[in-house]
Amino acid sequence: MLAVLIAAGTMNLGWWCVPVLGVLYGAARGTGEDLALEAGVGAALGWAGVLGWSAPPGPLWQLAVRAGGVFGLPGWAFIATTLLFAGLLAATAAHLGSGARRGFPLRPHPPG
Amino acid sequence: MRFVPPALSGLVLLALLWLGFFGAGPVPPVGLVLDPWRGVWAAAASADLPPQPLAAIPGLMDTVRVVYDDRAVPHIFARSETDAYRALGYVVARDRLFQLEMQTRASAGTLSEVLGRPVLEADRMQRALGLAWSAEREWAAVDTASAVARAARAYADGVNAWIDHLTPRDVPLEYHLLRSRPQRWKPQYTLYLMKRMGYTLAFSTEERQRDRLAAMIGDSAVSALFPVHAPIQEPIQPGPGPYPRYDVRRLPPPSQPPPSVALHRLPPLEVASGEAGEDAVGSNNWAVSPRRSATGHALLAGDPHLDLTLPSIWYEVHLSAGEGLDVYGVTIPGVPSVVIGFNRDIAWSFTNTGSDVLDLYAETLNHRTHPTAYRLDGSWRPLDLRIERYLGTRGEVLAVDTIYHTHRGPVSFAGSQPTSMRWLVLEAGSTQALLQAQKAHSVDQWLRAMESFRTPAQNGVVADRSGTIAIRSTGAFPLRPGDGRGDRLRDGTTSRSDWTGYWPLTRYPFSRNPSQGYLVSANQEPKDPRVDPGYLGSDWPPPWRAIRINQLLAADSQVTVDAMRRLQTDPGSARADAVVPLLIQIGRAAEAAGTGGAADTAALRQALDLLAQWDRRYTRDDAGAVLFEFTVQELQNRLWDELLAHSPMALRRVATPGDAVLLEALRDSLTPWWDDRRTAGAVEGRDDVVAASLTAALARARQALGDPAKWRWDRVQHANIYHLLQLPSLSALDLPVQGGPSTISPSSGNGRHGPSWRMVVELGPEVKGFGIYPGGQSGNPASARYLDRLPRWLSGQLDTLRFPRSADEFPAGQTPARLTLTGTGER
Repeated sequence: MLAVLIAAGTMNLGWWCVPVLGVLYGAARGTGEDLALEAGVGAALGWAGVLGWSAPPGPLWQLAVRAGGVFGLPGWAFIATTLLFAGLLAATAAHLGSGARRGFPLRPHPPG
Repeated sequence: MRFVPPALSGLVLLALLWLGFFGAGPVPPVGLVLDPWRGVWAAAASADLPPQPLAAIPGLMDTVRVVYDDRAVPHIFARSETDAYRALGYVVARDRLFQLEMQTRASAGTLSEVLGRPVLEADRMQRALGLAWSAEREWAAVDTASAVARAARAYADGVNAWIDHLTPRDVPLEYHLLRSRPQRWKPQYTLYLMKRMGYTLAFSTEERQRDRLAAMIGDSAVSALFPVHAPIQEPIQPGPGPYPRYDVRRLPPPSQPPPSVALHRLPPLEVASGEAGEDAVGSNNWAVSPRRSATGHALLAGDPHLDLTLPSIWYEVHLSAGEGLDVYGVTIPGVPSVVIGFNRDIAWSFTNTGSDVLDLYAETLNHRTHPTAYRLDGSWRPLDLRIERYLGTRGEVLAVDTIYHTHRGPVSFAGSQPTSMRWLVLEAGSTQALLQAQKAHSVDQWLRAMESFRTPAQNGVVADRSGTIAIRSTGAFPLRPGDGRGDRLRDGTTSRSDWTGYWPLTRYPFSRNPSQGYLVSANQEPKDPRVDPGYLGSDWPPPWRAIRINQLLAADSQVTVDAMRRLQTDPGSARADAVVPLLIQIGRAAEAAGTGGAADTAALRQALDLLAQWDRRYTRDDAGAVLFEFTVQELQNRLWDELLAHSPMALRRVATPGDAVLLEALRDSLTPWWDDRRTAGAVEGRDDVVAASLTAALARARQALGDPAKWRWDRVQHANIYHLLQLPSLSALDLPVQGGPSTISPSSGNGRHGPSWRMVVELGPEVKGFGIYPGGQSGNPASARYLDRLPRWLSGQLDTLRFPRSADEFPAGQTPARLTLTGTGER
């Protein structure tokens, strides 16, 4: 569900929706063992979905190789960086959102 | 994450957001770049042309149908010329928007607004020359009802229609990387590009180089080393012959400079050649009469050699409209016409004439740094001022320059002697001629249309279906007072130094249906000076390509399209044919005399044996070409030591005399030029230097490539096709090519220049065209059309060019995309 929301938000509003939705997700869930991981994976999946839906694989790979090369990255690494960026944004935002709901404890919350 | 305090997550998030919005250092805003919908990834979505879109262009009078063929060439079917130009602007912007803007900015000197301070000096140079200034001036003077104004405005309508409807997903990849957005297109930008062509093809300040050389070796030596007329004659306009003719002269010794020439007057060393090939930028074209073609139809070939870039300088298009316009060929993005191509009746192509249309004048100003007047005919004349302001990427002012103008043109303060520049490119336009020429229906009509073409002067070859072939060097050729030469600095204090007019059309180099049955141009001196010694330019490139083309055409009385195609990539070298036998003869003499020790003699013998076995062809797997080119470089380094000067970086050669002069030196064992002035107490002779060059070349080749069995030409010479931003991952580099310096398909130096469009046309009952350029129609690196033509270009193949009479003529399956354009009111 989060992946779909992030995909829709990115397409309609922009990349900055990812941290916004991540914060909301964290705040809504409050606590959870893998809350940040879930948010991160959800965001990466959301962006992967956008990429896969928006362009055929041929041009996508061509672009990954050529645009990745601009940053000194091989094609696969450029794709991975893109998904990692979304994942990190969502994960850290979700963690922050979760903390906000719990009043920003100075220590990490206990498991469970 | 559960062991991470939320505050730390907050910090990481903040950092990510900062990077996402603003980037850091060279890293662009990561969020904007990586956004899978609006960032660079969006380029993948627009890589393929949408199959059946509709679009609106303001001002369009009727619906225009655009059909893309299987090579992604748009065939534009309109009812009026201006509608065709609107559609052309639209389809070019759709495929080449970033290129349109970059070319314009390069001419305007506004690259720093998107690329920042690193390109500021390039911008300053362009603005000092005044390309944009002159284009604006020319545009202001254009009759608004003229064909040029109507075409330029229509083209701008088309480009802006595309820009105005751009979604963030359509913005080319490069804009994301540069954090920039496309600027709207103004009609006068077409003139900017014509000026840019002038800069590429007709900007040569040999006066400065000549002055510097005269200060080093004396004026008579300069005249011999860089002669006004080519020592090897193979003119474009067939003359009394026989050709090639070697006008060999004895080189005068280097002498002390005259007292009037002082090095301190000269600007810093600008040009040090010897790295790029002599004909790195050049072109070929030729036409064959029906009586020498296998089918009995006239044939025409053209291949302009220009900067090889991605996307290509050319864009292929078919324009069909009423009013006699039905033309196929290549246009330069930004120019509303086909520049090289064919229509239903004629075909044409250009090579650069290389005429001298730029003169420098030594000016006397009333103040060294803040002048207000210059001296002319005994009185002070006011200088015109132009203020140029340079902006950075955030709109900040990077620099402000004041450019001074005399009645001749802009003033340069390089060196201690201010000089003004009269440059025809700043004064004359040629767009009108191109617009008319593409509609000509016979050779004579085409020649008439081209009469108004002023600059950069071009050798235009043309053939028609009636079997007529012709060639003419067309452009404004200035007449100068005195000896008529324009390769020396002139006195600016008198108006008697100014141009007195232009050559009359009847004097232009010209030939029509010559008895030999073919016509050839390859940037060589166009007219035999025995026919007309008038000054057109100086230091012409040796006519090696022309000699080779003439040889091959003379040997074939049944020329075919395929023979023309093969000729365009012929690996043979007239230069090697001329130089190698001399090297072997001199080398054998040195070997017999035992120059050097036993080891040197053995090495010399091996080098000579390898050269003797060489077939003088620059095929990719050729070994002999490696040794020959290394030998010539070694020879030039040893022979022209008198031309070395200190530049800020190193000791470099100011200029390298042409191969024809090298031949003169090789034929003269006594010329003092063979002595290396750097070796005090020793006097080197020709045979010593040739032997040393051969053994040094052998050693160098061994060191670089190993055993001679492993030598291959394509390990030494490559074509390099750089993206406009010089980004390697968007470029095609280290491409093995057939051809070398001075072969018909030349490849030399850094490999950044070469055949940018190869075309062969058969003028039968139905005109048939074949062509290719390196790259592809799309400027989008994600597109399959970005580089799809490269393999065929590399292997010397040509594509069949489709030239349908209507949009319905395309066979099913060969129209991957169609586009319907309407006026804004009809959408």
